[in-house]
Amino acid sequence: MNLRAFLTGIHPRPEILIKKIRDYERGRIEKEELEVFFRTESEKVIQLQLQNGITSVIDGMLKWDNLIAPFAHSVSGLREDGLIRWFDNNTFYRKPIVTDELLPSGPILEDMTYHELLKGKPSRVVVPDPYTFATVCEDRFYRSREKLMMDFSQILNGELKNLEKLGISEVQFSAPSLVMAEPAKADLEIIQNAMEQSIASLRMKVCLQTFFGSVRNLLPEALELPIDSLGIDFSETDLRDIQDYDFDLEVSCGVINSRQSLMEEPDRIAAFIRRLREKLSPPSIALCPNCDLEFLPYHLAEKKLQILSESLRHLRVERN
Amino acid sequence: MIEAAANWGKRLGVENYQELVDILRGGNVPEKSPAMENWASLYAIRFFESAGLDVVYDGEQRRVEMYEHLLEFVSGITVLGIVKVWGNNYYRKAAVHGQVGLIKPYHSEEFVFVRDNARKEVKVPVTGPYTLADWSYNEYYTKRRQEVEDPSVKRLEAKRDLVLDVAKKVLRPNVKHLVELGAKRIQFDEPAATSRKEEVELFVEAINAVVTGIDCEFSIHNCYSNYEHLFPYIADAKVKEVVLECANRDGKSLGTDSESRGGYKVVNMFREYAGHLRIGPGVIDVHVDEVESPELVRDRLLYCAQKMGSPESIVACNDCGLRTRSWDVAYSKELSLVEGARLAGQEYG
Repeated sequence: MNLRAFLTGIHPRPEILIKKIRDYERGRIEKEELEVFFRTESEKVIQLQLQNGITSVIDGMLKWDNLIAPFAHSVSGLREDGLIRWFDNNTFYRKPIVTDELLPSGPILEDMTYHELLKGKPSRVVVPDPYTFATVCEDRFYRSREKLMMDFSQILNGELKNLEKLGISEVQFSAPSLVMAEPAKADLEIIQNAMEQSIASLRMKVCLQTFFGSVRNLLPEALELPIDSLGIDFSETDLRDIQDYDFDLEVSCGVINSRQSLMEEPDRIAAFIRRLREKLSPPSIALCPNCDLEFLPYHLAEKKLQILSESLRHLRVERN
Repeated sequence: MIEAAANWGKRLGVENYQELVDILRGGNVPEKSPAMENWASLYAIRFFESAGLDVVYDGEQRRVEMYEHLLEFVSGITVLGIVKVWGNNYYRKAAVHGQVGLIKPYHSEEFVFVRDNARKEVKVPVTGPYTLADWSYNEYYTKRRQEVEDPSVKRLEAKRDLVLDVAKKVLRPNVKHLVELGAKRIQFDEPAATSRKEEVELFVEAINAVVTGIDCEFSIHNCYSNYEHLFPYIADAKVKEVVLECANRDGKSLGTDSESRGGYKVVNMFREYAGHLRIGPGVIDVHVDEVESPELVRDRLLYCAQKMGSPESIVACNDCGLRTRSWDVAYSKELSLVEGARLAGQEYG
């Protein structure tokens, strides 16, 4: 059985970078100097992953204030409004208001991603899934979730095609809205169509990473989506609730809880994965944090990455 | 800094402000000293009083921040490091590694100073039990539930244990102490209260565990979240008043119709479920420099009073704390708040 590991979102910023961003905001340093720090720290995050046996790397997403911000800032037809809570976390984002037709206004992710640092390595980019994007916006233009999702999917598709040309081999659609509650039956077909449009003509591996809720809220429909890997948050999902489904795709196991400081034990993770393998029989398994590691301080995110690495080693030794 | 102390001292009518100016001119002023904290507190009290507010505190001048400040008074909890709140803003987050308890009462000296120096009524802001628990990593109580198989049940049970211990063993003795010192109004700052719909009932249970039997007027402040989650549970909270952020999500045009006042939809829900409560729907956005006009404040208040059916049910207030604004902007906003409330009151004769 194929076994791999990866990170699933925004990495915490190290204190030096936090300070430099503040310096830039207060006019104490120029943009070029800040950019040097972003690049240096992104290189470190990439190296950290490689040292810990991560098989598909991200650049750390250190420039991302949150999952939505790059699109809120750059997509024509959106403007940012007041602060609002990011799902059930003590983090906040400026809610995008849809005021006009969503249109691309230049490449977004090419500028936000250090694709040149990822060249030559299996690499992934993380984006919001269209349904999650639609639910965190306030739509004052389309008045139709379907139209909003389909137009956003088109923008996503353009961005992903561009990143694929630049060497990125995998896309993760972060999809908390799909599992925090059961999506309405009327939305399921739109979710499918939007996903298909987002990945049209792409050769990238496609992962749908669900978190902040139990994946049972999206079963069995999740298994019909055009994806290669389904991410499950096991701090929210009880294995017993999903064991009767047929998982004919990679299961990306969110076994590291990014929202708690309690350190997981690699042998307990390995025991859990053995149980999962027995119950679900997926063709391949990935180990990962349940969501973005940015809910932890930088040094604890590093420790959790080490635990991920040790868990992977446990399982690879067993397999061999 | 010296010029600011002199200008604001004069503008706000701070008694003996020249003493502070002389101290600052002398140099060698320690960055943190009880005397400087007292001056900061006095300036803030006069700031709100001179702007015309009826109920004041000292802008929490002595507190680093609403969560971190009180951690040194609580046993079983240790700061681990910084995590993001929004953008490039962070807070120092702690982990609960043992059973929580109160080491010694907090906010006492701060409150006594405000009590003895304020000329208007005083309301003490205190971080509420649910928020204190929710903003911490829950290591100890989670380990106690290690054998629970369902992860979401494990999380909920561990959370419940933590929240109720914080309420009974930390907040309640602290609140009792403040009341013994003379506190007549206490506001529980609970920004986390509506983070999880399935935990709002627990939040209300925790508030009630703190306040039951204590002779004081209690209120709750919640902000930047989904207020629908408050209902119907908030009706059972043993408090007199609920204060909310609303201006942040409202339009800027004048008007007392529903379309103009989209940020105040929550008031309808209070009328339906909890009409006995007094509501403080924030009419001042504390995260932008643009100063609301008194007319905009007036219209926001009038809309809410119409929805609740009575002006006595509505209190004019800010969305939240003003710490991210300069004093110039903050003062202008407070003047607008007071003038707007006066204009709204005029409509009722």
